[in-house]
Amino acid sequence: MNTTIPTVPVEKEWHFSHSIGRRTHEHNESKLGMTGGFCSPMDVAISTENMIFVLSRGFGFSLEGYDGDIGNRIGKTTFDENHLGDFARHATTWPNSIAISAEGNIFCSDEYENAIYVFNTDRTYPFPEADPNGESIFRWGESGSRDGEFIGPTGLAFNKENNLYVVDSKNNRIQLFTDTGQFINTWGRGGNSYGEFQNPWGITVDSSGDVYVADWGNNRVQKFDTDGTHLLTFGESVDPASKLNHPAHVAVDSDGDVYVTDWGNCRVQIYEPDGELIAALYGDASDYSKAGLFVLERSALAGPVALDTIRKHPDIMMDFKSFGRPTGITVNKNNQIVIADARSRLQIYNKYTSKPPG
Amino acid sequence: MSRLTQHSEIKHLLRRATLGVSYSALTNLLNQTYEETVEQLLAPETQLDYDELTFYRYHPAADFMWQPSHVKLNWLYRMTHSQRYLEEKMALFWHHVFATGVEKVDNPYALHQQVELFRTHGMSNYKTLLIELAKNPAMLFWLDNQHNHKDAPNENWGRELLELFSLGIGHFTENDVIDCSRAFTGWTIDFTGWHVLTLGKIPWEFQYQPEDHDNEEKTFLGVTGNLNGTDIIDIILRQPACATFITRHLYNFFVEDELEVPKWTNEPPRNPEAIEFLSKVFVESGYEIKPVLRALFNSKFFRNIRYNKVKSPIEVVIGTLKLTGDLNGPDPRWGEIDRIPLSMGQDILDPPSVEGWHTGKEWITSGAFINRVNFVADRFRNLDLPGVKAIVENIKHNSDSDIPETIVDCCLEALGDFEVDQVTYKELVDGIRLDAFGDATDEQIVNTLSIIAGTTEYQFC
Repeated sequence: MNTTIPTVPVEKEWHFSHSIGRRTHEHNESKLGMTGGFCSPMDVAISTENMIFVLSRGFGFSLEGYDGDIGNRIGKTTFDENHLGDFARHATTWPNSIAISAEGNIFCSDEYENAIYVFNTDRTYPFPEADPNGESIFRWGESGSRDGEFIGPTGLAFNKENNLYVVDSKNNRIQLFTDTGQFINTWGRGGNSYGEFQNPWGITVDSSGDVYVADWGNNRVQKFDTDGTHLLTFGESVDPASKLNHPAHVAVDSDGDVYVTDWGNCRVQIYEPDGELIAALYGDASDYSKAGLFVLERSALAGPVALDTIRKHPDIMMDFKSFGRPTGITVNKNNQIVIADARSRLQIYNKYTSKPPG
Repeated sequence: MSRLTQHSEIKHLLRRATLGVSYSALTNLLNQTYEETVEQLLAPETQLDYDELTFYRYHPAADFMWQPSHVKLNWLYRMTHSQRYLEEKMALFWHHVFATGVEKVDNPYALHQQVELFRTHGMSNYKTLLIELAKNPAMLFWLDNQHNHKDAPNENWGRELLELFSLGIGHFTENDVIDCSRAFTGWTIDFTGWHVLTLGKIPWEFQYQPEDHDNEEKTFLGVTGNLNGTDIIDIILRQPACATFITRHLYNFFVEDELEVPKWTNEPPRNPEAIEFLSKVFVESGYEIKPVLRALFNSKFFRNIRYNKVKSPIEVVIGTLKLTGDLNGPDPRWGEIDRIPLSMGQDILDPPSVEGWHTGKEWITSGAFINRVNFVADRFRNLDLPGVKAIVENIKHNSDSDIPETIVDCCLEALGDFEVDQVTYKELVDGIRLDAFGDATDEQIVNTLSIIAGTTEYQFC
């Protein structure tokens, strides 16, 4: 006798948790704790100790009185916004993405210098200090299109074997290296067919080793197996609600759900593993972070006026709760989603799942 | 008209009506007639704008305009990459006329919006432009109209509207200034968003506060009534002085350097007939800007004139970047690009005063001249730049490239059909040393280009 087993859909919800940081190049001791922030955050990564690392691109120039772009750095903070400090301050020119190796080192792509830099994470430098000798413990990469060379390297992701995928953006290909920079293989080329790219940006690897690439110029995310065989495409649609617009980064949670920072649409699209779009996030940071509040409290003149204005016009923060442009995105083992927001803050969401009984 | 003469005229037009074009774009533009080129320039909507998303991907801080440098970068990058040549040039023209500074306004995004206003309305109708300008938050703040209240008028905006933006001194009285200012009471800014510190672009919006508007009777240029700001602009446009004033600005910007604006009251235009002609077109078209530009570019007084205008620092920098192909696309060096025209005396979006910059020969101070020459010569000496490489290749393909005079002539042509005095020309020719095969080396050619770029003649367009 055939028995029909009723299926109960898995209910999933994403709730905004809080925001972290503000636009700044310094950290401050305050009654709220160590507060600080970022400057044009490009990417975010979480260590096995649940520490958040944030890569800031910087101001794009040297601020008066400082040698180098003091906004260009990697910050270290906890989920409850205790800013531990920065390192790699103007150690790179155009830092794009970061990834953490099995040993806990930070790998950082520099899309101008065509190089991958490796930093260890056990120390920070108080503002505006930077290691005069450069802090990277290792670096590789040359400009070019041969195996192992780069033109504009961007997204980084480690696989289970601790080998590093590098999005070689302007060469429109993916390259795989050992964690010591030895070239392993490459796939992809320029174009808009499956397996081809147009100025791709971010990359991630899921628990089964499949690879997802944010194909920025082609307005889609492509999924590949470990050999680079195309499996699936996300975001190709004529419907504006589901069409990706220049996606920047991609992440996968423990359930296999896929998160894409839809950079051009200022939102995050969430897909089921089979590519079905199930939700979108637009940003919900309607309250200041601790660091944002610190700015207002520190400013004797502007602070009270600002706080008073916000009290009188509560809707004003509604304009600013949205993502400026979401760039980097990552998910920790607890399915907390951390999104780098170009407004120079992080927005954090928690995923809640009610799984079917049994 | 010979092909040579037509090319010469088109190059002249492009020197004046654009901020420069790339070497490859120049080649394409020379394939059409002068009149076709004028029409192409007057139709920016048919031309490619810059790639905004690519720019912001690689320059993310510029997207949010945290700092004054970011809004300057936005404009300088767009000037260099947009193929809507005249639209950007006209935006610069209006920035010269309605000079507004980011240091006082202290909201880079508001300045960005003002430049956008110049793009949108800079070639449309002058009345529309003036009304939009009177509502532009950056301008309102720059000239203190948020402090212009019914019970306590502030005359800063009202005075400059008449003195610098529409009529010029001598065409209104002090009472006109007072009543003009009263008519703009209540024209202010919604600052609410200003206090949301650190989170991004700070939105200012125009706000009309009727309770703060002076509804009493006013008399402005002989018209009496309960006048509001738009009535004032209507009355301004009925004055013959208005068309004369704006067309003199256009003449000064595109044709021939005039004295600084405050002297216009006592000094007649250099070419009164040209101003009269342009004013007539301007008025008859209902103050449409495109017809007056078309008339200007097609006029004999424009087409026959050459090399009598000193290039502004912006024209030097952007024109050189385009011709040499330097900084073509995103590049970390863009971050500090605004410091280059600043070193030559023009801090874009931060003019010395509401009067703007004194142009013409006042651009050339000894320090500024050295910075101009060094900037330009450094680029033309760089064989890695695609524009320089293309110029050199083109010269070497000339069948007479083994004749020093031909090489110098080609270099002068590549830089814009320049002519130098006989002494300089002879020195340039004598400086060419042919190699053992009787050819000029690449280095010889770029050296010649850089020497020409360092001459006094090259400072003119």
